[in-house]
Amino acid sequence: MKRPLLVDVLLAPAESARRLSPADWDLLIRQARRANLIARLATALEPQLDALPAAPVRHLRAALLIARRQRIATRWEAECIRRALVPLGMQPILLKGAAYLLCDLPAAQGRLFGDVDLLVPRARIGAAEAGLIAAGWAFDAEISDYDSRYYREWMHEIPPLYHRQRDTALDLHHTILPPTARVQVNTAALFEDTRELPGLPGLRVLAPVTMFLHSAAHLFHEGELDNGLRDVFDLDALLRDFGRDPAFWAALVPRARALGLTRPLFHALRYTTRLLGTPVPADVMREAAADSPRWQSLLDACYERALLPVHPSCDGPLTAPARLALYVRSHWLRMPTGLLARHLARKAWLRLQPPAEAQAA
Amino acid sequence: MPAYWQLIRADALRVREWDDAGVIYDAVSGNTHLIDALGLELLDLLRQRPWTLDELATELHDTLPEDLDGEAAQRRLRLKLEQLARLDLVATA
Amino acid sequence: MTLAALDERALRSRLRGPGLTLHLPPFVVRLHSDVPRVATDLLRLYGDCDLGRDDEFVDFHLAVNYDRGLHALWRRLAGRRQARFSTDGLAAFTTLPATQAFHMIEWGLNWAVTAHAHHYVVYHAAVLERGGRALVLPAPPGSGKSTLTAALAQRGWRLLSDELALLDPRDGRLYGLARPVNLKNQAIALMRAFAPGAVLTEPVPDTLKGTLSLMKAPGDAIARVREGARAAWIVVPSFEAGAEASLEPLPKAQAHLLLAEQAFNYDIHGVDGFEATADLVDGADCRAFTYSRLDDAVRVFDTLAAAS
Repeated sequence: MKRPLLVDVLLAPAESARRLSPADWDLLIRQARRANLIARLATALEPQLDALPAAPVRHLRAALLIARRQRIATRWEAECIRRALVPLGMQPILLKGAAYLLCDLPAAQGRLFGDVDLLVPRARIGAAEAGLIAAGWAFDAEISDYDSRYYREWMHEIPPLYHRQRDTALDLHHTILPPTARVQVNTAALFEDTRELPGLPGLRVLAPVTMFLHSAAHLFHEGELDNGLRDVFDLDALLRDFGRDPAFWAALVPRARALGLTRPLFHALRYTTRLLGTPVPADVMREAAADSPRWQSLLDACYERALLPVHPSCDGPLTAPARLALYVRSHWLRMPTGLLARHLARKAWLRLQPPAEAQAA
Repeated sequence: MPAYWQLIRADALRVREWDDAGVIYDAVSGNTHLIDALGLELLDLLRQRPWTLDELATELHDTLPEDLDGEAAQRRLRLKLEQLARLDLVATA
Repeated sequence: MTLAALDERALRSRLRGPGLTLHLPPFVVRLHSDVPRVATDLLRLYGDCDLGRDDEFVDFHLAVNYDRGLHALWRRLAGRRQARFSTDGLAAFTTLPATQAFHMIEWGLNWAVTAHAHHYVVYHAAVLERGGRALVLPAPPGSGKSTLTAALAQRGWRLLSDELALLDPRDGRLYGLARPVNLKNQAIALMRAFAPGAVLTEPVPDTLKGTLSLMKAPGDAIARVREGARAAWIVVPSFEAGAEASLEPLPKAQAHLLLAEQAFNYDIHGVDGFEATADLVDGADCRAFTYSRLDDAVRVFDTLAAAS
């Protein structure tokens, strides 16, 4: 399968950029936008922006402005969360994009994301909800009863919270995969090895190995892969950065075993090396491959299509079925079979309804 | 020991003023606020150093409306400072 | 070569196929549509615009196509065919009646500019120019701004924009796209009477906003679209039935906050957006304007332009 222009340029920005025609730039910007990678592209090309054609560069600079704004907004959001929860005796853990950004990781460069993800122990979820609501967060008033039950009773998660004044979104978690998932994550072990966040006393982030494994678990349980390629680039960036320390590689597989995340680790290493050529020590690859899935070639066929930008230029005849297969698989991974059947049936029904009727349901 | 009022982060603030009011940009929160004349005066003073409420009342005695004296003036100042505190611009030490 | 050089049939074929590339300085736009009416309205309103090439860099890719699929079939059989907007290959979640297809392109283009054109600080305001100086009319929906803008454009003011005021923070000048002005309900008949020579699209009834029509930017607005201007006046209009025209001072700090609230990307520009907006307000005469009759309004703005 032909590699998308976007991936070629991201892997060799300086050389590729010089050889692009106006039509190439046009395609590049559109693929980057749809893959949610335009800010990463802009960051990669930042040293040469003045020498590149003005028309596409305007769009790249626009993306850099948005990324800069998000850095400010995320830091402030983290500070507001800190003020709401730390005085209550909690030490919430920031996950994913917000964590990369506040730790100043290369994975954060040019990332555009919306929600802040927060992890607290299950015993403190009620107190965390109450503390956030007291500080101005609220649930979406329009959430349907079905969706609310989906979150709370069936998936044992909290529906998203929104801050009433700042209009920012917050996802509160007590584990990193739904408790109903077929893979049972050793949640207690997650809380064992965390790091402080400088400048935000009381807030914490996962240790590097755990941070990587969480990112992998999230991507390879995800059903809607609009951000799939971006997430693979995140994994690549984390591996290149953390991988400079040999202790990281040594701890990777053992920690994955301790947490119950060996399968996502395998997928993460497989697809970063195959799609992006990420340098991974051979012995680590071998150890991780001990937990390769039965349907390896089928999964390869699906992921290699689904992890492309969601743009017509990257679609082939098997792209839609591949995405559908992974969508169903992610639900199968998240919930028991009976629940899955009911849930998918309802979603299929909703898709056939005109929007107005769907909202009333 | 009376409380001192101070600016939380002077370096992060930009102010533009016209006549009786102005706007202020806070680079940490990303917010822009409308500030009235009294607010501008207070921010200006606090930029120099921390002040107690009594000190501010004495300093601004000539600026405040004449019908406000003693306790009423202090209350007006305190309310304005609390409003600025809610905007995360000032705090007591 | 301008769009007017194409006949409607050739244009429809292009819109269904490779797409129509149009220069709308400072942007290049590519449009796709299989709704025939879109070609008619495009020729009426955008005939003076330059055509672009198939292989050039395009800022915004927009499409409005008939909705397809099982649920769309029911609507089609009931005679309420729907159209769906998409941009950069991403389709909108909801559809609208296909009679509104051209308006969907206008709304889509507005959205694309506000979502991506951060080269500028983009305010939700009308901009007109006279004698090299710009008049900015920020106003929330329902304030009569568009009708007022259309009237002024027909009475000696060059239209830069009805909706999107583009401030270039590097030179402090305002720009627009000289695109059509939105008119709705009674304003349509009012404008036909006020300016019999105005070029309007066939009104589309029953939209969420009422009956809609679009008025082409008159005179040399399109030809001079690249000419920006510095703001000399910032006037917040408000329509009040029966009111006498009155122009009151507006405190600059309030004008700044109003513009910031009405801007689409003020926050994204951070401190630069703050300073650029303050500079804009600094250099302009800021007023609040109440009126009920268009003739009064035209007279007041004529006086304003002559006085300075």
